[in-house]
Amino acid sequence: MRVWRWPLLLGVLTLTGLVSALLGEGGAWWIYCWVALSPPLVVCFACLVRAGRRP
Amino acid sequence: MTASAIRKWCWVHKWSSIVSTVFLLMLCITGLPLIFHHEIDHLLGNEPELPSLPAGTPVASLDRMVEVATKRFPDQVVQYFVWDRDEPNLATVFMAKSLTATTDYTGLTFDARTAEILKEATPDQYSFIRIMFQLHVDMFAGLPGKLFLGAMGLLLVVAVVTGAVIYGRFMRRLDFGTVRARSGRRVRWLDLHNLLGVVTLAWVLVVGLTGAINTTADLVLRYWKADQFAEMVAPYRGHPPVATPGSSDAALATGLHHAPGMIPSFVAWPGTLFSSPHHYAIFFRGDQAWSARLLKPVLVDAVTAKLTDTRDMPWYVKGLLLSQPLHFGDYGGMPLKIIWALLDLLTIVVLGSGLYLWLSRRRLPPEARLAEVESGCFSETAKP
Repeated sequence: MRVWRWPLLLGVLTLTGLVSALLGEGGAWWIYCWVALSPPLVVCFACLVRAGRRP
Repeated sequence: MTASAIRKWCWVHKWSSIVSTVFLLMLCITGLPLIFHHEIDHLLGNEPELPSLPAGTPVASLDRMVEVATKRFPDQVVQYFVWDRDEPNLATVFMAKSLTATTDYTGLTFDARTAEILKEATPDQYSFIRIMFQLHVDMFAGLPGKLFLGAMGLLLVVAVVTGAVIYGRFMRRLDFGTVRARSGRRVRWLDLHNLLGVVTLAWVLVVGLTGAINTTADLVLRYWKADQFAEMVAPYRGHPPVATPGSSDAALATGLHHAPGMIPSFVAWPGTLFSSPHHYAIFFRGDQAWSARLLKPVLVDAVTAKLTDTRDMPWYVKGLLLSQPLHFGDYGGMPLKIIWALLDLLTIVVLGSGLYLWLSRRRLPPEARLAEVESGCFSETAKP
C-alpha cells in the first residue's frame, strides 16, 4: 500500500481535476482543475531536483 | 506474485509498448501543436479577423451566406453550416463536390453579420495545423487509419495497466520518486520512466481511452443513423429525395422554437451524412459547461419547414461527445492547455525512455537479462 500512496493521491487529483472543468465553466471549477492537475508536474520537478542534489 | 506471473506481465508490457510506441510518439508530437491550434493559426495569419462593427449589429440570414458561398464555388454543394463555438459572429459553410463526400471540403468562413467571406480554405491548402491534424487523426489514411490509431490507443491502455502492475512490484524496496541519478545511465532512465509513468498514469489513461473512443466517431455516426435516426425519419421512407430544399432560415426558426434555451451548433443539409434526403438536421448544444458538448438534433422538413422529430441523443453518442474535450484539453482556458502540453511532453519522455530501456536491454549478455527478469524487470546489477 505504501507504494501506491502517492500515485493514488495524484491519480484522484488528476481525475477530479479533469471532471471539474467539464462540470462548470470558469471560476472555482477551472481553478480547481488547474490546481488538481498541477501536482504531477510539481512532483516530477521536485523529485528531479532532489535527485540532482543527492550525493 | 510469482516470478512466472511477473515475467508474463513484463512480456505484455514490453510487446504492447513496442508495437505502439512509434505511433504514440507521433500522436504525442503532432498533438502538441494541436493543443494550441487557435493560437498558432492566429500567429500564422490563418485565423479570420472579424471587422469591428457597432454592438448589436444584426446577423445576416443563412440563406444569404449560402447564396454567397454557392456563387463563389458554383461547382460545389453546401453540406453544413457551422457556428463558431467561441465567436458567435463567425460561421463556416462547408461545401464539397457531392452531398455525401467526406473528404476534400471547402470551408468558407463568414462574418455572420455582413455575409462577407473572411477566409477560404480549399482542399489543396495544407496549413501546418491541418497537416498535424490529419497525421494525428488518420495519418492521411481515412477510416482505416483512424481505426488503426484507435487500436494503438488501446495498446497504450494495456501498456499503462501492465506498467502499473510492474511498478507496484518493483518499487517495494524504493521510496516513491527515487531517481538514482548516479547509478548509471540505464538505472537513471529506468527510475525516470517509472516516476514519470506513474505520475502521469491517470491523465494518460484518460487521454488514451478517449482518443481511442474518438476514432470510432464515423462508426458511431453510422450506427446512430441506422438506430435512433432511422426511427425519427421512418414516416418519410419511400418518399423521393427533396430536389430543391426550402429556406434554411425557416428551418432554423423551427429548430429554435423546439429547442428553447439551446444554442445552434450546426445545420446539416438534406442528403448529407448527418441528415436525411428530406430534412434539414439542426444540431443544438446546451448552454451550460456540462451540456455545451452534448448535441440534440431537431429534424425539420426541408420543404414545409415543419418539425418532424427531436430527441436526446442515445448514450453511445453522448459518450463520444463527452470524450472529445477530455482528449483535446480545450475546456479549461489557457492554463489547462499549458498543463496539457507539459503532461504531453512528460509522456513523450516516458515513451522515449521505454524505447531506450528496451533497446539497451537487448545489448545485455543473456545472463544479465535473466538476472533482470528474476530480480524484477530491471536491476542495478544488470546495468550495462
